[in-house]
Amino acid sequence: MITPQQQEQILKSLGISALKPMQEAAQKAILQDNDTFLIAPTGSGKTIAFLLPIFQLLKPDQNSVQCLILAPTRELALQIEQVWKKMATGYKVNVCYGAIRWKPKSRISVIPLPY
Amino acid sequence: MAYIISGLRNLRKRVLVSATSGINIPDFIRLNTPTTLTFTPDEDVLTNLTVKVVYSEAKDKIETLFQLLCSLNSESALIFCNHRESAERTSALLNEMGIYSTFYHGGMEQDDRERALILFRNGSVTYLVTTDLAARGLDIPEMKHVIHYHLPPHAHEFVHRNGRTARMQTSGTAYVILHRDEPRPAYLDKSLETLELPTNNRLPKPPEFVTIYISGGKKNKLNKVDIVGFFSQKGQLEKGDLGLIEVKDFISFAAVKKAKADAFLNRIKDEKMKGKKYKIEVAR
Repeated sequence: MITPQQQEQILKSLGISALKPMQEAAQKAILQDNDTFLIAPTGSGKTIAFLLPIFQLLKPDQNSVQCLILAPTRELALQIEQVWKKMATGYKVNVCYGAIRWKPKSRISVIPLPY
Repeated sequence: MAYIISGLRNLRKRVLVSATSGINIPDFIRLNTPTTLTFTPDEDVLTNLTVKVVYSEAKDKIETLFQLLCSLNSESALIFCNHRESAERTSALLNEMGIYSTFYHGGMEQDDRERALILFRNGSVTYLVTTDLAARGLDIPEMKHVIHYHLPPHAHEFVHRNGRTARMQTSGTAYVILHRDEPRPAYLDKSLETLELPTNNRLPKPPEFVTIYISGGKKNKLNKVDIVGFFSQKGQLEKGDLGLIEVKDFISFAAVKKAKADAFLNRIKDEKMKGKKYKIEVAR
């Protein structure tokens, strides 16, 4: 769960002052038991709309992967990773995609994707 | 996607997001009585996006694209083509005409894809010629112009492409280059403004920044602060001379004002960063 202070801190890290009505509605819906389908215009803040409630659902005492985000392009996956990092939640994020050269010292997990 | 989702046995919650509706959600998602939230833009308050039609007299639209780019006050633009080959060819043609551009599509090596976006994001390249690979989700601040060099086949792709501009509270313009004889797709409203291009424009100004490549990244224990410190102390760059810095696992990129780049590279040529020598040069 999240205290108002925690939420304020995250928004501050993201450089925004308050959630928009769309993001508040998404937060409310995603925290319920049902699945959510959110349709909102381009550039209206959908990434934050789903990342914030997901953060609220994460359990700090669980060490395994708790959430998987699938994105249509690799660069969009990288962008979502950046937004999560900016939120400074303390939860680790790992971005996985195909076609990157394997470096001996790297511990990145690579999932080959067809495109 | 079906493969990944089928492997998730204990999936408890699914959240789907999109900017367009009217797509069928495939069965493999196993969406369970979802709460659907629809925030479509209000027709009256309408968005900050303006769509303009630019007619090309010639069937080959390159000359019209050239004139259009010359009329945009050297501001950054994203140019959409329908195929990878045409994105590359169009970029090459623009470069021949004196407009520096680069391309970004799904047929490129991953390193090159990411590099193209870095160069575009940090102002080392003003024009990015791309396919629908760049149509979804990418958030590039201060992008004011989206150009449809080729018409997207469907309305939803038109929406996603346009969505790269006029994000959040900003405004932007989408230009549709249309040949006179080209059938007008249904998603183009009849009432759209036609833009007449002035013909005596000057070439756009060259990019303000150049991207510097550094042969080390996070796994070499380098971070942004290290790079800023090294560039400003050893490299004697002032605050405004240094642009966006991106630190990847084994390499990094930093944008530096073009006018300062040569002297900077000369100064740091024999210097070490955190006790180690890195290859630092203009990114190709």
